[in-house]
Amino acid sequence: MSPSSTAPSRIAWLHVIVLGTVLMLGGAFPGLAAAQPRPGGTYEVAYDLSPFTLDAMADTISAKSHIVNNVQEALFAPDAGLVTRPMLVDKWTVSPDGLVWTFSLRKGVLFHNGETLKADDVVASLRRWLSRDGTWAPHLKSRLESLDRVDDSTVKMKLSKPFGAMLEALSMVEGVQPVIFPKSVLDRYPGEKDRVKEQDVIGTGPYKFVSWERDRRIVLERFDRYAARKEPLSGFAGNKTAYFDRVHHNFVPEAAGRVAGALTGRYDYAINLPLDQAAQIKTNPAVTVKINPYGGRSEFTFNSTIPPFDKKAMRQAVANVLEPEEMLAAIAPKGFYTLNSSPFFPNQSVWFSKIGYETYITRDLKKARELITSAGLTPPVSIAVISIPVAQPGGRQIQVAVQQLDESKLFKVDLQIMDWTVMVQKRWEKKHNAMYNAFNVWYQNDLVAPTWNNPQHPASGFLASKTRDDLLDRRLQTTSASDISQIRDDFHRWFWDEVPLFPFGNFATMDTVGQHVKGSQHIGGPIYFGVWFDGKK
Amino acid sequence: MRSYIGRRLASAIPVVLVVAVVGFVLFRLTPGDPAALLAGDNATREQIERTRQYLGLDQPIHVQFGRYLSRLAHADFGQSIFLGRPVTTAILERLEPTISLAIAAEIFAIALAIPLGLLAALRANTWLDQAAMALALAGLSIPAFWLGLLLVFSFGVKLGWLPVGEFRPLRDGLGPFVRHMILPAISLGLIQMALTARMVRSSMLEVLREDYIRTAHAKGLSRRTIVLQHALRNALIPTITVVGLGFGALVSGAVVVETIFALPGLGRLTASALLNRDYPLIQAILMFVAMIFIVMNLLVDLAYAYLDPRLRIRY
Repeated sequence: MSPSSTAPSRIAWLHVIVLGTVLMLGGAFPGLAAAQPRPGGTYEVAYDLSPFTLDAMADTISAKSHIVNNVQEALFAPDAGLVTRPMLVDKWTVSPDGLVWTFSLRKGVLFHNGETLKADDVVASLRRWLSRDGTWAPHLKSRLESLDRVDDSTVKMKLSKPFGAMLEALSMVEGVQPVIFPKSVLDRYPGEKDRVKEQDVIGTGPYKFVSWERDRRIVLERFDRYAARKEPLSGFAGNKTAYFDRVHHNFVPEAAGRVAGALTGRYDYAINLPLDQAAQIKTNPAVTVKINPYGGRSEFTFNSTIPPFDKKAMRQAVANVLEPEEMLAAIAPKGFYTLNSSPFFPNQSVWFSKIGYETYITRDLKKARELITSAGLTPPVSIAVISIPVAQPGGRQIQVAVQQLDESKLFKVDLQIMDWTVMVQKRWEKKHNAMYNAFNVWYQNDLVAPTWNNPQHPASGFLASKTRDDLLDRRLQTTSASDISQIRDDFHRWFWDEVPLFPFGNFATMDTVGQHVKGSQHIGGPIYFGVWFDGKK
Repeated sequence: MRSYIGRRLASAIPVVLVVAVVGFVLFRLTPGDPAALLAGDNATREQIERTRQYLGLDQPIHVQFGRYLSRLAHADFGQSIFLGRPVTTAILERLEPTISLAIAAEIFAIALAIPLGLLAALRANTWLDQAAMALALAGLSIPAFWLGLLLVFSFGVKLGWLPVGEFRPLRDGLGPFVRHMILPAISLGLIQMALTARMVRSSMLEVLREDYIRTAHAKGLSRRTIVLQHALRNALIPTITVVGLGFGALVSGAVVVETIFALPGLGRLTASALLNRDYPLIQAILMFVAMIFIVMNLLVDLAYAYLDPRLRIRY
C-alpha cells in the first residue's frame, strides 16, 4: 500500500472519530447540539397592531415596517449598535469632493419573483422613495443632480453639495423606507399616492409574503434562494438567513391575550407585554423574558411660537421644575427605565451624550422662579397642555408632569385630554403651549432625520434656531467621525440651552420567547431571521 | 306574505338614508384629522395638505356630501381611507367571525335563558326563583371585558382547557371552531342570557295566569303539556323581540370581546375606523348595522306570525 493511498483512509477514520465524538456530546449535552441553527417549523408570533398597508413607502407606521424588514432590504442596514452596514451594496465610493456616490450592487441577489437585482430596480425604488419620504429625502433631493444606472450592477448619484448622511438615509428600517422593489412591480404603481398591494410586496429579503387575513394574521414563508451576506448577523445587518419554514404574524391587540398566549405556549414570541406583569411572567419556566431597555422615549414638547414658551427662560424654568424619574416610574417599574438627558438613545453610540445631564436631573424651584421673573412674567403662569388619555402610558406621564408643575405653584396647567387622532390635528393648530410626544429609537438615528429636530414639525416645538440650522448643515457636509463627535457635543450644548423639549428618559419594552426559541434579537420590533427552534417543538 | 316582506324592505330605504345622512354629518363634526394621521407622524404641513386633497377632504362639506350621495346611488360605498380598498370588501372580510360569534353567543344565551326563566317562573317566589334571577342579575352586572379576561385566565391559562383566543373558521373543522368560540360566546352572550331569562320568567308568569291555561288544567292535560305546548309557546312571543333585537346588539357590540379574544371581526374594524376617523368605512359600517337591525325586526315580526296564527291574516 502506497503512502498516498493510506492517507485518505486515515483522514476518513479521523472524520468518523470526530463525528462520533460530536454526536455523543450532542446526545449528552443537548444544549450543545441546539446551539447550531436548524431549519424548520412555524414561528407563531403575537403582535399588537394591524398595519394599514405593507407598502414600505406608503406610511410611517411601525406595524408595517415590522413585516417589511423581514421581506425587503435596502442598500444599507443598521446593525445592533445602530451603525450603518452594507446590505444590497457590495462596495461604494464617494469622490473626494463628496459630490459623486457610486454604489456597486451584490451579484446574484434574487427577488422573490425570481428576477435578479439590477441597477434599474435600485434607481426606480430610490426615485419613488425620494418623492415620498419627509425626513431624509428632502435634504438629499435638494442636493441631487442625477440618479442613474451606470451598468446592471452600478448606480451613480451626482450631488450639487455634499450629503454626509447618505448611508444613514439609505438604511432606514422605519418610516418611509428606501427598500428596493423590482422595477417591474413599481411600473404598475406609477401614481404619487399608489400603494403597492401586499401580493406585490416583493423584495430580496429572507422571508417572502404569502397571505394577509386582515386583523387575523400575516403569513410569511422562508425564501429558499435568499442570498445571505457572509458577515455575522447583527441587528438588521449581516447574515439574515431564515430558518423557519413559515412565520404566522398573528394580530392580538389586547395585551392580556398576548400574555395568556405566551404563557400557554400558543405563541413562540409575544411582543410588547405590560411591564408591570414582568415579575409574574418571569416565574413561568416555559418562556424567557426579553427586555429592550431602550424601547422608547417620551417627552414634554413646548410650542415656541406663542407665549409663554416663545421665551427660552420659560422653557428653562420648566426644566428646573420637572423631576424626570417620577415620570418614568409612572409607566415602568424600577429597572425598566433609564434616566437620559439626551434626545438620542444610550445605545446610539455615535450621537448619544451626557452633556446636559445635570440640568436634566436637577430640580431647582428657586431658579425656576427667577427665570420666570426674568421673562417678565409672574407665577403662576397659565399654560395649556394637550395629551393622550391617562389610560395610556404616555398620558400617565403627562399627568405626573402636570402635577409637578401645579404643585410648584409656578405654573397653572389646563390639561386637555384627547385621543391621538385629535392630538395630531391640534398640534398643527399651534394653540397649545405644550404637548406630550413619544418616539422609538429607529426614527432618530442621526441629527438630520428626527421630526423633533425639524423646526417645521410640531414634534420640535416649531423652534427656529440659526445655531441648529448651522449644526445640521455641518452634519450634512461631513462623513468624518471626529467632525460628527464635535457636532454631537455642540448640539447637546445647544439643546440644553434652548430646551426645545424636555425628555423624560427612556422606558423599556418587554417581549417573551419560548424556551425552545434560539437566536432571537430584541432591539425593537420583531426580527424573524437568524432565529430557530432548538428541536423541542 | 311576499308582498308584506317587499313592503317592509322598501320602507327600510328611507331609514337607511337617514342613517347615512346623520352618520355623514356626525362624523364630520367629530374632531380629528384622517389626513394628518394617514400622512404619518413625520409628515410636513404640505404633505398633509396634499393627502387631504387626494382624499377629497379639502372640498366644502356640501360638495363632499353630494359626492357621497351620488356614490351611494350607485351602491358604491367608497374606499377605506386607511385600508386603501373598497369598504364593502373590508366589511365582508370581517363578517364571518362576527356573525359566528353573535350566533354562538345567541345559542349560549337561549340555551341557558329559557330553562332558567322557566324554572324561575314555575317555582316563583321560592329559593330556586331567587337563585335563577340572582344569576341573571349577575349576568347583567358583569362587564364583558372583565368576564372575558377572567375566562381567559381561568380556562385558558390556569386550567388549559380551552384556547385563549383567535378565530378558527368553520372550514378548519367543527372541533377547532367550537373550541375557539366557547369563551368569547360566553363573554358576549351572558348579558343577552340574563335579559332573555328575565323576559321568559315574566312572560311565563303572565301566561300561566291566563284563562286558557286554567282550562287546560281543567281538561286534565298534563303539566308538562300545559307548560311546554301552551304556556311556553305564547310566552315566547315577547321573548323573541328581546332575542331578535339582541342579535343586532350582539353584532354591533362585539368590539370588546373581539379585542380580548383577538377575533378579526367587524367590532375591531369598527374600533379602528372610529379611532382613525376613516369616514367612508365608519359610514358603511353604520349603514350595515342599521340594516341588520331592520332585517332582525322583520324576522321578529315573521316569527310572531309563526307563533301566533291570529297574526298571519294581517300579512
